[in-house]
Amino acid sequence: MDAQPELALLAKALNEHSLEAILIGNMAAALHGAPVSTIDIDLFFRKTPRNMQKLKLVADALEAVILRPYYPISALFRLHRERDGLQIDFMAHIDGVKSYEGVRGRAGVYQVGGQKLLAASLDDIIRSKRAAGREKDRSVIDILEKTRDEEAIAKERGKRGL
Amino acid sequence: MKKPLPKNGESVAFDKSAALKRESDRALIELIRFRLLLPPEKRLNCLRRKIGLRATCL
Repeated sequence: MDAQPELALLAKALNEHSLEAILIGNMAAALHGAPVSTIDIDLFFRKTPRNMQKLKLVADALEAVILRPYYPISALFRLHRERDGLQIDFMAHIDGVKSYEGVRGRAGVYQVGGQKLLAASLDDIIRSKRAAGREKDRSVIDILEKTRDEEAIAKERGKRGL
Repeated sequence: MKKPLPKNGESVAFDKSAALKRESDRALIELIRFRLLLPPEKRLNCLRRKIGLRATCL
């Protein structure tokens, strides 16, 4: 299913409530061009009291509720929309990633439905997948590495005007 | 002209597997290049919808 409408709504809600979050995981990889699929939208954010208030407003805007899963993933807040089962995970900690600022500095800015959206670099996505070490994460690393290499080649060609 | 020596089953299987891997890699690179030509917004047909308890579909 096309995630563009949902992602555009999410980006709009984030921008309206000034909640800065970086798209990460397979959805961000897809935005980079990787042929991967996912059942949820993952975002990396700073867990501050102010951002938690903003997160509640974003959940309201998307007609979703905030769930806190019990399984041991640190600082994960899941926005769940009953109507269509949409799942958006906000994470304050990402495996293999040292700091939010580092990921922010390497992230790219994309336009989705006329809204600005930050997406983590493929290097950061690969690093987090490698550190998570789950079978489903390891299985896509090869695809992400090939996409990163092809993206670099395409950028180089773009610079040369080929 | 000399005929090539017949290969045993194991080496034929190995050759086939290597050829399949090369073909699979080539197809993947082609798909990535195709997706890179699309604007980022058009690369998002990636969300799987849950069906029932365990199944999902694109």
